[in-house]
Amino acid sequence: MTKRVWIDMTDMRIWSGHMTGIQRVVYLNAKRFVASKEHDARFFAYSDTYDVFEEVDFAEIEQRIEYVPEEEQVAPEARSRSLKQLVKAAPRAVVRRVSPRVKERIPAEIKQGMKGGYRLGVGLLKRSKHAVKRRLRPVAPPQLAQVTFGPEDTVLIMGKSWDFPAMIPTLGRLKQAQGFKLIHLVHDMIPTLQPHCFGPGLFEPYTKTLFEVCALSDGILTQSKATATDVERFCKLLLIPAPPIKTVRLGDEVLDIDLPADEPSPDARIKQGEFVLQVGTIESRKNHQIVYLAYREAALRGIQMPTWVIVGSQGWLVGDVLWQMMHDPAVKDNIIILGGVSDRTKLWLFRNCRFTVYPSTYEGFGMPVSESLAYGKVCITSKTSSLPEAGSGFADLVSPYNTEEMLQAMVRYTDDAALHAREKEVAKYKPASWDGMFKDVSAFIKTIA
Amino acid sequence: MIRKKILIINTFPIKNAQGGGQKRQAALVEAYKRSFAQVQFVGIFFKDWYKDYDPTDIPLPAHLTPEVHESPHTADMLSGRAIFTDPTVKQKMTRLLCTFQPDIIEVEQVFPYLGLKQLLEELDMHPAIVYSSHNVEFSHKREILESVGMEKTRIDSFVEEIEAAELDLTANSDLVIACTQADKEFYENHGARRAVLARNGMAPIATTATAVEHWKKHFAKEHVNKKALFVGAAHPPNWVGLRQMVGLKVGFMPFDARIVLAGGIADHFRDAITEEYNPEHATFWQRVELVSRPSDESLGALLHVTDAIILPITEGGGSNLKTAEAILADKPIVATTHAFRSFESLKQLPNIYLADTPEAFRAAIVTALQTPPKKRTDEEQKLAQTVLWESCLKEAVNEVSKL
Repeated sequence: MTKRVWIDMTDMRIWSGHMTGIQRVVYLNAKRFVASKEHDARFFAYSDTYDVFEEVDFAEIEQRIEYVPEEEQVAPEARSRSLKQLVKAAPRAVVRRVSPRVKERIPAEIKQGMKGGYRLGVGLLKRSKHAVKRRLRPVAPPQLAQVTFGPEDTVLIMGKSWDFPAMIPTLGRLKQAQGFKLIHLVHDMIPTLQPHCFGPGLFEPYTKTLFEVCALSDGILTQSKATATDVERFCKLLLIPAPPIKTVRLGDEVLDIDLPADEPSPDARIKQGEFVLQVGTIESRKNHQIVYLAYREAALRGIQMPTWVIVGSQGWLVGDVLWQMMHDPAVKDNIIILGGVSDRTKLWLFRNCRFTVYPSTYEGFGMPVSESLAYGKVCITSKTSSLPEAGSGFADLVSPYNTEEMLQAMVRYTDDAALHAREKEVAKYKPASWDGMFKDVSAFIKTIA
Repeated sequence: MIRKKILIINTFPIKNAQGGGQKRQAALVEAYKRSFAQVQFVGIFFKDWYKDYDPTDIPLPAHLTPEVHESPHTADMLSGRAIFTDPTVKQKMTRLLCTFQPDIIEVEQVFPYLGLKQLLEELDMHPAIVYSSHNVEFSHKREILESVGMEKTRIDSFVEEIEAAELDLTANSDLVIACTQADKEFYENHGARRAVLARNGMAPIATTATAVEHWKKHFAKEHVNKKALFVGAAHPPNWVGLRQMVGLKVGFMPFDARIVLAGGIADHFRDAITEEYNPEHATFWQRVELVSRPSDESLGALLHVTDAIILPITEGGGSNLKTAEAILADKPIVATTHAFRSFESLKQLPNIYLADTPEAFRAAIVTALQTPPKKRTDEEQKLAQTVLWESCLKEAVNEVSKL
């Protein structure tokens, strides 16, 4: 019987122009499965509507991704959003339209309560939606190309299976009936281990999904040894017999765009070599708070700091801090928040920043750190979770809870000599490749199959 | 038929018996009815806890409600004392005793004796007294009150009262009926003139094809292929044992298997496993299913469709009705040694896995679910049938009839 590797592409089904980190992992590995011919690679996606797995055409996905014009590659304000994502974004769009003067007058407790109520409502809606779906699930139409996983096959999931609570249990039942192997990449265990970093409604579905992933998988991949340890501890805590766990290194993303050296700044306020760059979703876990407090402390002491440029969309639990950052007279004029940017702009920012910061409190890997190093840029990051691994010995590590440490680390690189000396060391960093990751994933599949 | 009159007194009714104590009591009353011409049962009880009772039962008057709520785990003592101290209850008991004029009074558990002794003295009545024990009550009560966190001096006071009454009753009754061999030996060592063993048994398991079909469809719909059933009231030894021997970490259970908790124990866990952001609580429900207060028919069907029965009992006196039920069900059983108290001779039956540590217990559940059970021989089947009430109570009824 033919041994196939079935690769989950559920995350790529509703794609809206800009790939998330997880989508990049899925897509870039999937491409290599096609190119290598080492495995008989096939692709599938989970249909939440019909609770089935259907075969998908990778070429169609590839075309959508590879041939999107650059001007459309802006996230999250992408033009070609699905209706689902537009509905999801609507409340934020409404909030953005409310006059700042009006927003200021709403007491903080009320705003907090409204946010909490919204998130609770979303969580309840999702759960009831899933419950209703289970009861009212329509039968899959005959033209849907449902997958039959063979007993010699391996199913590889590297995407966000927790977004579909029924997916892993349904796969588990198929696995018991059909006998294939399952390998799942666990990006991180953060919603389970650090639930305070998210709003209500995520801990339970995430933890339940991870429980079943660990219980059902024949092998688990992780992006860092720190995440591997988290998975082992989770299994031990809940008495799940842990499957073999392998850590694989994500590839470093260095954009291959022809950008001339004299390319002008995308924003007149951002001067070449005179800004600190922080890339990543703006959410409480990413800890923009500590950089803000360090900037504030610097202002108090009269220390001149580079402009702090933030690139990323707004995520969990960060509204109040953002508001403070944007309104604090001591620092607001030294902070520029760009939201989503094109790849071209991102490349310019990486090439021309002074250094980068990424003081996240917890990560599954920490791609922005390795990205920064791959661009030859000094990176100040946290000494917690997987970030030292992402730094590979070339990043500056600080406590994400110690403002003074953060401030001193940044102040150090306001000095050109110190910066250049450190950059010489960072230049020795060898970027990891997606080919390397694929090789390790492929080898693990062969071990498990 | 024996022409003597026998009155049985307890602190709960037995109509539509649900709990283990009620079922034992109901079985005893039925057994006496087969042998004695006149049998009367009276339960003195707290009305809020029992929706079914007979006209001859005596509910506690409303003014005692606050006292019951204040200390629910000593409500049985309150019921017993009320026989003498509460005017309403005393009046009804007096009328019953004077009208019925029992030749034999069977005191179920020690609690009715707390008030009955003084009432009999006051009425100058001297029937033969049988102490029908369900547990060595004073030590059992201490375990219960400690498990619910009652303050020590209060526990000591209650236990002292029960111990005095129990030893008095043991020494002054004409017969002691004990639930387990260990209990029988205790009473014999503490002055019992005669003691006989009547371990807990079972009525034949009854169900209907409809109920069986319902549960088969239910588990098929939920994609549950293997079930390990635990039936129990929300009685501390039950949930203490389950927490101790199985625990809240259920990752050891296979993906398509469930622990099914049926009875009051289901309510306990439904109310207890609610902590937010607790991974154990969040994932407990991935492998556990609750069936709250099933009817007898539904319970019988669950016993029919289950793949194994678990008895994680680590404390409590008496012998275990659940053990008798499990043996009669002819399913693989995973039990502690404690659960087989007074069923020692039945440990030799096939498909019984004894485990006394949490690790061994959990591993035994998995093994029991994955191992095809052996069929009982005719001899083994006969041995298993000795758990029926008729068999268990025969000697006790015989001894009582000789009084």
